Amino acid sequence: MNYFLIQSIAIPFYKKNTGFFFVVLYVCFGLIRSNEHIAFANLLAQQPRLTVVVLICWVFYFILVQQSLSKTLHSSSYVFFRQIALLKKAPRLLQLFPTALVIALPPTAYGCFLLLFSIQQKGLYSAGILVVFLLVSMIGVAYYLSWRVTSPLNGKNSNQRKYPVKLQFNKPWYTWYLFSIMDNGKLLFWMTKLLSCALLLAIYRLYPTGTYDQRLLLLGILFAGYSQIMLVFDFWQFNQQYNVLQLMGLQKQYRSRQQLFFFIVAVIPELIIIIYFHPPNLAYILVPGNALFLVSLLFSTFTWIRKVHPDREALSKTSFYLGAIHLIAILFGIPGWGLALLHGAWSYFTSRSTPYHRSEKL
Amino acid sequence: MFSIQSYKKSYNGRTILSIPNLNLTTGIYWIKGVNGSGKSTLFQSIAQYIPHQGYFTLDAIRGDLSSRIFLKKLSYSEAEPQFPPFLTQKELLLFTAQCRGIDFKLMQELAELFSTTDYWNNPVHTYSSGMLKKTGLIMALAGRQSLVILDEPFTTIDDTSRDLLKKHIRTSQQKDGTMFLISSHEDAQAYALPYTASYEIKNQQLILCK
Repeated sequence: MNYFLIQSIAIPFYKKNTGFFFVVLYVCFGLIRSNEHIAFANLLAQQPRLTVVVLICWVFYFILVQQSLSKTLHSSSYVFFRQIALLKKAPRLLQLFPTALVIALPPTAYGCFLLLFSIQQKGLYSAGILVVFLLVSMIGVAYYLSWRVTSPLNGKNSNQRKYPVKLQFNKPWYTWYLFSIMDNGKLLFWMTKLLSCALLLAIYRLYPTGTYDQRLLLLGILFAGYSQIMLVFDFWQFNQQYNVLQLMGLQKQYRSRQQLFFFIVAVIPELIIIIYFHPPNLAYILVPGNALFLVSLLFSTFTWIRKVHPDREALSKTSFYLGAIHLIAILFGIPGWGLALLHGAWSYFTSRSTPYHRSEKL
Repeated sequence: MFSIQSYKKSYNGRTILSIPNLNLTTGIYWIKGVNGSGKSTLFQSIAQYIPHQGYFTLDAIRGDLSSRIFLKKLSYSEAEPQFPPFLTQKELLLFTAQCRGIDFKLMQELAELFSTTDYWNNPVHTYSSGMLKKTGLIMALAGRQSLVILDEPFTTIDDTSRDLLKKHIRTSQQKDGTMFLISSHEDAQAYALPYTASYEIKNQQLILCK
């Protein structure tokens, strides 16, 4: 049963949060260099108070875990999972513990790294705090899973189509678009915004230190771009599910224009950071290229999703594959404007025969 | 013996269904109602999926979420079962068998009976609605429960499976004394089942049909 639980809870969790893990990987292996990791681990061993920083990061991670699992386990395809309540409490927790362990793997791996250094530096106090927190968090996840699976569904079926603004025709239609981006979780939206802005800001502030090159700058933009994909996807999903706008007679061009307007409004913080913090030792000619790259990245992923399959599973997979291709391209020295150009051309040619366009023609 | 006491379910202040008192002995019970009358809501409440007012008692055990014995005594098949698309039927049945503590062979026999074994290693997203329905039915029918709740069991499945299901319901009821609560928007006579009583949900009330 252990493998079954990992397969049905832990793996979908990683798939659904691919974008987040991309950013984490970038921050851990791209932005922060190995010597900086070691320096931090040594400092942590000497100053146990610093463990608070690590613990705060982990708490944020477990909030993400809680949000994600809550949605998954209360979806209608997971109703069958409630049968796990038929097991006694102890065997149930025992069965769920390996799943909790897999879910908590990223903080555990980093925790083990810090732990080794703390032990090496005889910083036993810091090591103790880390061990206790890791154990508590893993047991906590197992308990949460056990409780969530058996808790009532609140009379709601989370897979049911729900209208974002309680579908009131007297409301101006543009509020529907605004709420459509909020519909999939306000917290997720604001967290994504905060994360992408913080990431860009961090890259631009660190860039003048001389240790970072243009490729890393592009990688940062790539990840900031990926964090916006959900936004584009929400617009698209809104159009697909709530086709009342189409039925109301609003023309495709008109709707597209409004969506583009809302999208630009949504990415203004990132654009401001790119323009305002652009390092003076870099030619400003790179700015439009980088900004274009960000936008075209979103557009190409979006068109691909529309072509392949309209669900979040496809979104995660597509983001992953596209991200991997971009990563390799950047590491081989392809500049931002080159990628932007390629994306623009590719999106133009692939967005022709989508089901959405076909329905428009009909 | 299954009883419902002071049951009431409301959504946004609007009462969907209210059952002050109902006692059922073993047998096959047919619950009829139009779409949206509250059949599935009642069944989900009995299976403790959704919160509600009032309580249910099965063989003198009061039903709530913490009552593992109560939950173990009943099984529920949804009208439109859904499963994670990447899982296979075999994995789902194995999970059910482990949770319910029943022999997997029983599951296998039922799967063979409903002719699903040819596809049971395929992921669920390749299944038709009939296959999904059969998967849900097998999960609910396997084992020896005191109460089996079937929400619109005869829709979407083929005629052969429908006959097999009817036969299985009859046998389980006669051999093991299992109680069945079956919902449908059609009349009980349409399916030629030896039902004990037929109820209809009308005006948020459960009314016994004559």
